Amino acid sequence: MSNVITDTLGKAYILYKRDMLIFKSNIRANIVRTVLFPLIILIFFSNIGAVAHNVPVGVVNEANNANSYRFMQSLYAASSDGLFTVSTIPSISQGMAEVNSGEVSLLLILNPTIGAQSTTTGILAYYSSPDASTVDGILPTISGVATEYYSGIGSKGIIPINAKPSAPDTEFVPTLTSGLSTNYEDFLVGGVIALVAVFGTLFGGGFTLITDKQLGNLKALLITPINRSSVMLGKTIYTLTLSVISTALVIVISLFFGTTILMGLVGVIWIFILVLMLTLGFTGISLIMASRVKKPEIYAIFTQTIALPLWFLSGAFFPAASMPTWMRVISTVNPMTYAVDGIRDVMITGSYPLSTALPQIGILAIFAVIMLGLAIKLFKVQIA
Amino acid sequence: MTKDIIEIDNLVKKFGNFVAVDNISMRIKEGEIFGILGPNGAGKTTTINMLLGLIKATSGFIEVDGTDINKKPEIIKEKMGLMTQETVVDGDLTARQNLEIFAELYGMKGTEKEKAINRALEDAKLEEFGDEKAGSFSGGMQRRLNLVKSMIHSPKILVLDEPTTGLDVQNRVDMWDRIRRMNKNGITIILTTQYLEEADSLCNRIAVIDHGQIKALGTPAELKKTVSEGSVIDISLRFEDAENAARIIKQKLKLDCKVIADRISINAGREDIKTLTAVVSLLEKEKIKIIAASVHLPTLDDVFIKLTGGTIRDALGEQQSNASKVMWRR
Repeated sequence: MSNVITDTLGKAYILYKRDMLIFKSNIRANIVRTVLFPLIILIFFSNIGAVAHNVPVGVVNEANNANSYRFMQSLYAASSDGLFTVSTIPSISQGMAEVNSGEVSLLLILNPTIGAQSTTTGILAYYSSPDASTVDGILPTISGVATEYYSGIGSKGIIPINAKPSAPDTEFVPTLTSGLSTNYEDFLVGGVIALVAVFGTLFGGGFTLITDKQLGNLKALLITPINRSSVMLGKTIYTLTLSVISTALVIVISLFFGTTILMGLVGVIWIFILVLMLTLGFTGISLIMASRVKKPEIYAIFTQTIALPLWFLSGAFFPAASMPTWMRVISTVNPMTYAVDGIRDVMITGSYPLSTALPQIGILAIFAVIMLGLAIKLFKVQIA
Repeated sequence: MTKDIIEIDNLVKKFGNFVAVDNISMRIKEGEIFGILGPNGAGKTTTINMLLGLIKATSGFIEVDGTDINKKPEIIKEKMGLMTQETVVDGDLTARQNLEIFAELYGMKGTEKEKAINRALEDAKLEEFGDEKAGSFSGGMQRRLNLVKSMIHSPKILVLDEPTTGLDVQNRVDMWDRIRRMNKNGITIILTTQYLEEADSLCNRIAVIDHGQIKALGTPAELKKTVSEGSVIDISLRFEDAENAARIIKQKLKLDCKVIADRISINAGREDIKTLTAVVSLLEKEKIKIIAASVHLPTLDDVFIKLTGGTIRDALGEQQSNASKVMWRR
């Protein structure tokens, strides 16, 4: 029995070595392919749409007291990292006009009660609904400044113009407001890591299995004294290696883009754990596909049809909370959601307690066990 | 008397309702070159795949060198090698790496492995190219690498599935030489091919398979004898005359003849020249134009035509489409 296991592991390692040698012989193309994808997504997506970058904020100072000046100073200081720019506006009516015309995205009105710990709201915030997503990106920072002056601009203070009546309460998305610095780039990185890992998986072991099949290599391998578990195991380890490499590359790139991982080195370890668990499940999917499908083209179409929607519905692009209900249901049963959530907690929120980590990793583990189990059961190589 | 190294009894393989291999029994002797001929889709590759343990038989029995394939497949796998029609080498790996992977899969280690690899490179005349990527090799070099890779574990039996398809004349002749040399060294060779002259010159014995059944089995000479004790006469005519001419020859001369497109093939027995004159004068009398006439000893082509009712290439197209239908249904 132990002989069989040693033999299976040994042969799996030989197959793994073969795939890695092939990978290494095309190392430049492989690295470029791995790097290019996240790079493009980060460059393009972080610069369009809901980018919190130099967002124009207008301030009408109705208070004109010491507290309000101090608040203004703090606000200017907070704007120095390029998240938003601050301008003063003489009157409320002009401010409103500018919000409506989009000249400023957010209008803050400082009431005389600012900093007085009064029951009356100290700071009122107005924005129009087209700017809502942009404002979401900077509110936490401004809210942070406001809190110093005991004038939290809670949801009550925010009265979106032209917005749906229920908007004020739902506009706050926990994932967005939880961290200190929540620009969209940071938000996106978590999703991109998951995406690159999953796509790396689909073009990892499963893909090489199907090309091996097409070129006749698989037949040549299977006539040697090898059992099929070795083939599966070898392909799985190869896939995991690829996902570790691609995750490392994406992390390096995003650090270069100025993203921070709040949990530091421990966070990096968590990210790798989450990615590996996610990759295991998708390795199962890719092996099932590869053993059933004949042509690489068809394989690529099938797997991408599965992976892309899952990615979009994982909250990688936009918070799951902002999705319509039916999408949110899919998002809840989507394993990728938990990986993205976890990675984001580690990177943006800066805390990943076991009470969050264990259920998330548990779900990914269940997904992995089911998919790999199915792969073992359904793995059938047609050598034609 | 040499012993049987492979015994196949009542072998059947069904894919759904399609019977790919229909109750085949045969013995292959140790040290012989055994040819399996048949149109594509006839069941050759399915039989070989079962022999190699790649697919399981629906029913029947295979024993290789005294081992039942269902009981100890791994022992059989150690004893068999395969080279397929497609050249299977990893182009991204060097010749040495290609060989190394397979040597290791067959459980070789250390100096044993090194020796086997060096011997293989030498055999393939690739010593100087050991560390070059196989993808940069010419077709012939890749083919040679493929062959020595299939032989890395010194198998007792080598299965060659259309080993010369797509090779130029020099490489084909080289491949034949290699096959003969390996056979001299005691390796039993099972060969499938589309080239009948190849089977004729290489094989000790041949099985002709069609529709999953063995149509004939014997030495090339024995098979040819079934066509004619003596010679075969081929007469080329205009296409539209062929059927008519065959009918007249059958009627008037009582000869056994077959029409293949614009050609008539006549079994002439030992009286070849006499028969030829008779046929020619008969056709001239009937005012049927003869384009060419020849007398030759029967070839495997003639055997194949007799057994499968068409030339090998006619059968190929038709069977191919049947085979792909079957795949689709699966």
